[in-house]
Amino acid sequence: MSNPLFMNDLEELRFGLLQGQECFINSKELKEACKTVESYQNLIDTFKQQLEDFDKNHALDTYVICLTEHKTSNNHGSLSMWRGYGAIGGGAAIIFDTSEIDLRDSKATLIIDKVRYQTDEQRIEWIKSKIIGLANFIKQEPEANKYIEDIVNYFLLRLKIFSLFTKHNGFEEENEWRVIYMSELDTENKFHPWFSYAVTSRGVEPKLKLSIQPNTGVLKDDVSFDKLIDRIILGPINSSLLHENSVKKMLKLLGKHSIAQKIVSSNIPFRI
Amino acid sequence: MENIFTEKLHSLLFDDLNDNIDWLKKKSIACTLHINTSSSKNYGKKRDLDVKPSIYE
Repeated sequence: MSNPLFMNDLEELRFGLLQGQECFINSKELKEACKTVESYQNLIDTFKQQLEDFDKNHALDTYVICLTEHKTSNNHGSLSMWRGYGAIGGGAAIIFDTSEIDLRDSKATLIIDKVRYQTDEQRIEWIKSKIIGLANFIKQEPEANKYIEDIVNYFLLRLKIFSLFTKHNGFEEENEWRVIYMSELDTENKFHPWFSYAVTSRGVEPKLKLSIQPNTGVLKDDVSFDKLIDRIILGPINSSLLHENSVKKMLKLLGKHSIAQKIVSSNIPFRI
Repeated sequence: MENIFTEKLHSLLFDDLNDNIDWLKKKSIACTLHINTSSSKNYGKKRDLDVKPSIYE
């Protein structure tokens, strides 16, 4: 899993957090809801403090894996995805079986959700509406002043999730899903052994090398990588019978016999 | 430990996140990870496909 600060989605994450900060600090609804100057100042100070804490302690340990929605009956993939992300048709696509994902644990450390595509205006509107909802909640709850830390903590968490699951509507055809890891949710440090790095063409980048095993909080107890894979589609450039048999042979030599049986080839007539 | 206050707060801010859970349960297949296996510098080398998807390279 990659850190979004090193991905081309940096602007998307930054946009959400910066707009959220500006809307929160300048919200007249929150100011009115707090009733006293001291209470309002406490809210703003707590917000700034928690944002700084995220920046210092958690931003570098936020990780994302990006996937695209796939129809069960489709054995060929999507040409735009092959062109954009699959080695221009020469790569492969792993299809995951999502029935192996167990979402019963609502406090799971990993969050899986669909990406929403919105204009800048729509995203700002969403942030403002959440803040107005929060202000109404503070106004109605007589004990709200006792819970300023929680109010800010929950709002910031929601803002970060919103930022990570929202993209410019120009990307809409990607039908993206994401799996997100946020270290601030990993209170028992379960994922820390998988913190790692990779040396890429852009230098050293933090990575989360997630192991496929039951204790991730979202996978079934008897999960394995083999079971999680429904099939692998070879890209249209490398989809001849010769290529397909070569990949199957490679997997068998690696001891991955069940995965070898799940190889299919895209027959999109795409040639470079 | 969540109390009534934080439960209500959580519901206010997070309830809209659960819209897609039913979709995942109903469909057995959801996602594709596109990987680049054709880079000539990687021929003959063991690649860790989990770690370095090409989707944002």
